[in-house]
Amino acid sequence: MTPPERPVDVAVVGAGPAGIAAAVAARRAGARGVLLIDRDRLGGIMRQCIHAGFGIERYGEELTGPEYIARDIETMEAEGVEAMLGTMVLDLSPDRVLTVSSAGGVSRLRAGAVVLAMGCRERTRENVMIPGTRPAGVYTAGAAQNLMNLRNIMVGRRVVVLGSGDVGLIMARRMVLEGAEVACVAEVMPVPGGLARNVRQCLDDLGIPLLLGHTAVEVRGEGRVSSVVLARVGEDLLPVPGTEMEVECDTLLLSVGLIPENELSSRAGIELDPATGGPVVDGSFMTNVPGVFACGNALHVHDVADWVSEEGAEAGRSAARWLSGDAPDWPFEVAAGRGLRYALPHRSGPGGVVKLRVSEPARDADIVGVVGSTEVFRKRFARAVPSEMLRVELPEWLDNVERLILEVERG
Amino acid sequence: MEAYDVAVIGAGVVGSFVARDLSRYDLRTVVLEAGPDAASGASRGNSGVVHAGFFSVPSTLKAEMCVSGSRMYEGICRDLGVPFSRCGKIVTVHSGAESEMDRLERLLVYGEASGIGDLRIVDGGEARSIEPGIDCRAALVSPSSAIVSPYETTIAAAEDACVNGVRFMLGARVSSASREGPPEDPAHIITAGDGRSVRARAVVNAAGLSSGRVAAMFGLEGFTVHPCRGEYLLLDKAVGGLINGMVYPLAPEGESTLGVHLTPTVAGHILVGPTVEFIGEASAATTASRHAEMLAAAHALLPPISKRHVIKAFAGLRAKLVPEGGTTAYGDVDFAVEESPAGVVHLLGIESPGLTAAPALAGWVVPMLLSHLGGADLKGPTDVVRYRWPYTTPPATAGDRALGERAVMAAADPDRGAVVCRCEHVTRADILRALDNPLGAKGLDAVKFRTRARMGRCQGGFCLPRIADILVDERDLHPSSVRMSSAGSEPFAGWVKEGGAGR
Ligand SMILES: Cc1cc2nc3c(=O)[nH]c(=O)nc-3n(C[C@H](O)[C@H](O)[C@H](O)COP(=O)(O)OP(=O)(O)OC[C@H]3O[C@@H](n4cnc5c(N)ncnc54)[C@H](O)[C@@H]3O)c2cc1C
Ligand SMILES: Cc1cc2nc3c(=O)[nH]c(=O)nc-3n(C[C@H](O)[C@H](O)[C@H](O)COP(=O)(O)OP(=O)(O)OC[C@H]3O[C@@H](n4cnc5c(N)ncnc54)[C@H](O)[C@@H]3O)c2cc1C
Repeated sequence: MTPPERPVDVAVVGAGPAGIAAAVAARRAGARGVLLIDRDRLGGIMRQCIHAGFGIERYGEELTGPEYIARDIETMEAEGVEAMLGTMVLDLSPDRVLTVSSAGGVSRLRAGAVVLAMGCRERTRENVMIPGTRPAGVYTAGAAQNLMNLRNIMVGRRVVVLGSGDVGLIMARRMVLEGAEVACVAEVMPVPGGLARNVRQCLDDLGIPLLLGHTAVEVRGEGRVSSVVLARVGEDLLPVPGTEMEVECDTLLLSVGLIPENELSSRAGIELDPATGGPVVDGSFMTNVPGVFACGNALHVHDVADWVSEEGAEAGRSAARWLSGDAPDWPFEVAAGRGLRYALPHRSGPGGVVKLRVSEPARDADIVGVVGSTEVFRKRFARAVPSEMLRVELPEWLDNVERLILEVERG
Repeated sequence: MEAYDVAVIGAGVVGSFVARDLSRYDLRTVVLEAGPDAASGASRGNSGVVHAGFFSVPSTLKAEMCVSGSRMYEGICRDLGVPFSRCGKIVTVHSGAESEMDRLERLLVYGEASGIGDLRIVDGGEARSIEPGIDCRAALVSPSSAIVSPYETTIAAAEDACVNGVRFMLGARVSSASREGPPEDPAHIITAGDGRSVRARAVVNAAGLSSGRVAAMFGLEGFTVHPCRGEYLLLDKAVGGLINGMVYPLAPEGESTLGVHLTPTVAGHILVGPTVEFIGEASAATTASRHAEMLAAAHALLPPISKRHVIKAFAGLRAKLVPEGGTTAYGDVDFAVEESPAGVVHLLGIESPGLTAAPALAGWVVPMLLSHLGGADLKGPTDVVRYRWPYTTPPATAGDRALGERAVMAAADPDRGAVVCRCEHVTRADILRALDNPLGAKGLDAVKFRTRARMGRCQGGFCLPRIADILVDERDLHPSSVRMSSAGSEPFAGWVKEGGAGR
């Protein structure tokens, strides 16, 4: 049996802030979009982020995740964007045929353009290879957040949090507010992974100890976690023998990094950047597969949802523009040089915006643009940390350039 | 106390196949399993390889059972509705040293003596045409070596037995046995740790790691089983395409096992392992040092493999009849199958290739039981009910045919269109069916080992909350009574807000 097939202008995969913004923008630019989402509700990760802290850049006010996304959903409905809920995209082909599965059956969409906005997934215990037994009670922080905030299900009573990313910090606080005890937050790096504001509000204010330079070396317990063994790490980030300490707990929450979700991208033959884990894109957010665009956490992990929405809108606009036959030229390659973890998009042009992350924290860091061996511009940041994305606008006069390298110079 | 013709102790792959064969006769059979589900022991944690048989010394029970078991597997998997893939195997040598070539040659000779007709030794160039990612000097090629999902096969065999009339008692760890009745036809009273007991005329001891202890309960002394841990790393499907079949570097001389190798899984991952470590106390914990050992070995064979591809670490325990240092070359310690007293059959030391050998072992043991119970008077084999047919929805990534099958299934049943698990494409229908499994196995792990939900790269991050919805909202379970497997493995501590809505 061959599944039935239906043509659409723009198919958007994923309905978090990126996907919703993309679908709205594509619609406003005149394309008829369809939003595909595996869940029964719109909003993606925003739905479970019930704390305030969203919308500062976009609206100048602090909203919770659900409040933030409600505004976008309203706009989307007003614009008449079609959403297919409970629809999992199983496959994407290089000629933009999506195979989808839902309670309505298995079918195909032949899309003029595709926007990928699948978000990201969390690194698991296995990704960081913590040895030991395999009892219940080991959760990624986002999964625990989902269970507690969307399902009213409590995951544990005495908790060790591994990793000080924002999700981990926020969950440490959440657990305490719900009556659990948080023994500590352990972080392998010498600096916290999340925003300084979150360290203060989530740990310091509640007296939760933060153990920097520590990692988990063993999980113990048969049915349920009974303890976690932590150890100090050396400069090589490996555990130092003899520094182990056993912390009794029934829960281990992991906030050890996010990975862009790109199973579909790989299936379609889209090239991925090992540094971001997301697709290689040009200034229109188009991947190497013509007509397929990527944005949001599927492209690179963001720390502020407002920028996700902005990126989604740009990708959606570009997709509509591409449909009408207008594909801008991105004359030069952009590469991350010394001191940068990544720079994105991978092709740009004069006046383009580049998003980047530094490898090491620095005060007064200069981002320097280099062509050949010549410096062509520089921009100073009073503060540059790996956990916060930086944005640099490229000068309009960059001409006749083939490859622009961006580097960090410490002030 | 309920009376049975046969009691099978242990629902690993051996016990489950024995039970399945017995279900074809007009017999009352019970299976007592210590764990919360079938496949709670070695049959859960192994490589899943259907060995052709050339690793075993010809004419041993191991070799004979392995060769005949391997020939039965494809048909059995079709009947059970579980995946089977004849992906082939190469055994590689890397130094090209004469001693290595001699040992490779020996495998060929072993294999041929055991009646395996399709083996050949090729040079590195030809090996590359089979496995483009592998650099070696020479290789033994075994096209008929195959892979299965060991836990799915075991569970499917048990479920098949169950729907055909065999009774399963889960969580029943046999702790003692006694005899009553006339000496020429005694009945065995078998009692579990929780006090439940059954009476049976014949008994099969397929208790894996505990088989020595169980044998002693029936008066057969002298078998000590030594647990020997094998750890594994499971790699993301993203690198699954780097090999076509199994890649086994020839193990060093004198190794009692096959060494760390690469095995594709039927779901498209790569399994790295197993390591070898005799341990005092049976624990399937994993260790940092073995992780490092396996990563190094995998990387040496296939350079693109690195730490970031690991999605799961686990371990299985071999049931060895010799302690550490007690073996000299692989295959030299045979399986032990002992009938003592009459009508009580013990399967001891069923280590690798026990998965492969299981259907053949069942085919050997069952006639022993039948003859004890009265042989020709028994009715059977009878027609059977098929439980898992058609089986769990095939992964859409398995190609057009699988997709077509999904489309047909989804057209007939909306639950077969609704995808719950993003990584393995498991549907709501599969989850519901697993929850209602005929064995009565409870808990999230019963779902996991039947559907693969929570086994993919997110390890449950996405689908656990959605499966929890089904249990809590639709099945009305209080969150704190949800279990992973046995009592004590509860993942949830209750409601966040008592009296708050579920959602
Ligand atoms: C666990 C977690 C917690 C976070 N907490 C915070 C926070 O507290 N504060 C903060 O500022 N930021 C937080 N973030 C980051 C912020 O939520 C993200 O920046 C933002 O939600 C990303 O939006 P997105 O649209 O790219 O992805 P998402 O919001 O993740 O949406 C993607 C959607 O696509 C769907 N999808 C994926 N694959 C498919 C498919 N094959 N078919 C159909 N649908 C599919 C997913 O189900 C999901 O709903 C968090 C992120 C995560 C992962
Ligand atoms: C690391 C490793 C890799 C392997 N790789 C392969 C391979 O690739 N190919 C292959 O053919 N073979 C392989 N094997 C061997 C294979 O896994 C075993 O031979 C096979 O699973 C043994 O099955 P079993 O039923 O005898 O034992 P088990 O699966 O261990 O089953 C025994 C059952 O008995 C139960 N039990 C124990 N005590 C009691 C009691 N007192 N009362 C009631 N129940 C009890 C246990 O809970 C368990 O479920 C491997 C083994 C290991 C450990």
